[in-house]
Amino acid sequence: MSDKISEQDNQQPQQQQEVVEDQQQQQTENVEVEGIPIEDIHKDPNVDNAFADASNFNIVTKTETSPTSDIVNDSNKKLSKRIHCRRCECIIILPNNASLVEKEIALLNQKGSDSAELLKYMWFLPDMFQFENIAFSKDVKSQYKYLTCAECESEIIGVHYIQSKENYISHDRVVYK
Amino acid sequence: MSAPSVTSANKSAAYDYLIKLLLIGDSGVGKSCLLLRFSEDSFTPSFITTIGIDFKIRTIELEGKRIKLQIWDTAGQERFRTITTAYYRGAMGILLVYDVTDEKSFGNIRNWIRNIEQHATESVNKMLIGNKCDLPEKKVVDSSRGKALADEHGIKFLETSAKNSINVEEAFISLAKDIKKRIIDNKDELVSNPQTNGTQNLGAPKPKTGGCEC
Repeated sequence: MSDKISEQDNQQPQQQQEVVEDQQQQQTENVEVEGIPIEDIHKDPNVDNAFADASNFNIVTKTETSPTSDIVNDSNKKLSKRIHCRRCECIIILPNNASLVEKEIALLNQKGSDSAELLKYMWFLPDMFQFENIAFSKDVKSQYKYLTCAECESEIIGVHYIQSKENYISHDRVVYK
Repeated sequence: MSAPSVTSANKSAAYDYLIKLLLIGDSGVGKSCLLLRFSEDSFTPSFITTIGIDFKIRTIELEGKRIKLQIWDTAGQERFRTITTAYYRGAMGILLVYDVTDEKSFGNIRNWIRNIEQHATESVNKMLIGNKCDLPEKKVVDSSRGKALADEHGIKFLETSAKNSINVEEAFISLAKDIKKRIIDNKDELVSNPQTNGTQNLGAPKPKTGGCEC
C-alpha cells in the first residue's frame, strides 16, 4: 500500500516545526498557526475545512501500547476481534476486515484542544464498505476526510484519503471485544 | 439501528446489497439527529461537529441479507433551497424529513418533492418522515396531514423521534426493504460499476473473499 499521501499530510508539519531557523518559513508557519479565526475560515467554503488540518495544531507523538496477539493474527496481521467505539457500544469493524500497519497519522484531540496526537498503529481498510458502521466528515483541504463513530460522533478515530480511497483507524482510539 | 451480530468471521465482509440513501428536508428538522444514537451533549464535542458529516455507512440485516446503507446527510446544503444533482446521483432511497412542530418545514416538503423529481431517478423510493414526535404539546402538523401528503404521492409515512429513538430504525429498515424488493424485481438495476468511485458504489451484490489484499 502507498504511504505517499499521509506522509505529505503528516510529516510535513513536523519537519517545518523543526526548521524554524529559516525566517521565511517561520513567517509562513505563523500565518498558518495564528491565522484567521477558525469560525471565519469555516464560513468560506473555498477553504475546505483547512483549519482542521493537523498542521494547525501542536503535534504530540503518543507512546502507544502495541496491539496484543489476541487482537491481531500474527501471521497475516488481520484483525481477530471486533472493533468498537470506545465511547459507545457501536461496532466499527468485524474480524478479518482490517490489517494492522504502522503508519504515522496525526489525529486531532477534542474540540478546544490545541494539540493533535501522532499515532502509528493503524487498522488499514482498502475499501470503505469493509466498515460495519462509520461516519465520514466533509473534506479537509480536498485531500482527506476524518472518520468518527456513526452513532456518537464523539471523536476523530481515523482518516479516509480521498485519492487513494484508503481508510485507517487508530488502534489507540478504539476498543476490542 | 444497531449493527447485526455476525459470528462467521470468514464471511464478515460479505454484503448482499449496497443501498445509497439521502436525507432531505429543511434545515433544523433534525436530519442529522436521525443518524445519531446519542445526543451530542453526551460527550465533549469533537472537531467533527464543526467540520460536519458527509455520509455514514451502516450495516443492517434484512430478511437474512446483509445490507450496507450509505446514508448521505445534506445538512448545510438546504440553505440553497435545492440540492445539487451530484447528491442525487445513484440515490436509491430518499427520506423526506419535516419537523412536526414547524409548519413551514412541512409546507416545503412539496418543494423538496419537486426538486427530487427534477434531479433524482424516477424509480427512487421515497418516504415521508415527520420528526420530533416527542414534542406533542408543540406539534402543529397533525399526523393525518402527513399521512394525506404521503398518500397523495404514493409514498410511506412515519413519525419519528430522533431524540427518543422512536421509529428511526423502522424508517430506515422499511425504506431499505422497499428498495431491496424493487431491485430484485427489476434486474436492470442490479448492474453495478463497483470500481468507478468508492463513494458511488451502488446497488450490486458483491461477491466477497476473505478481506483485503494488503
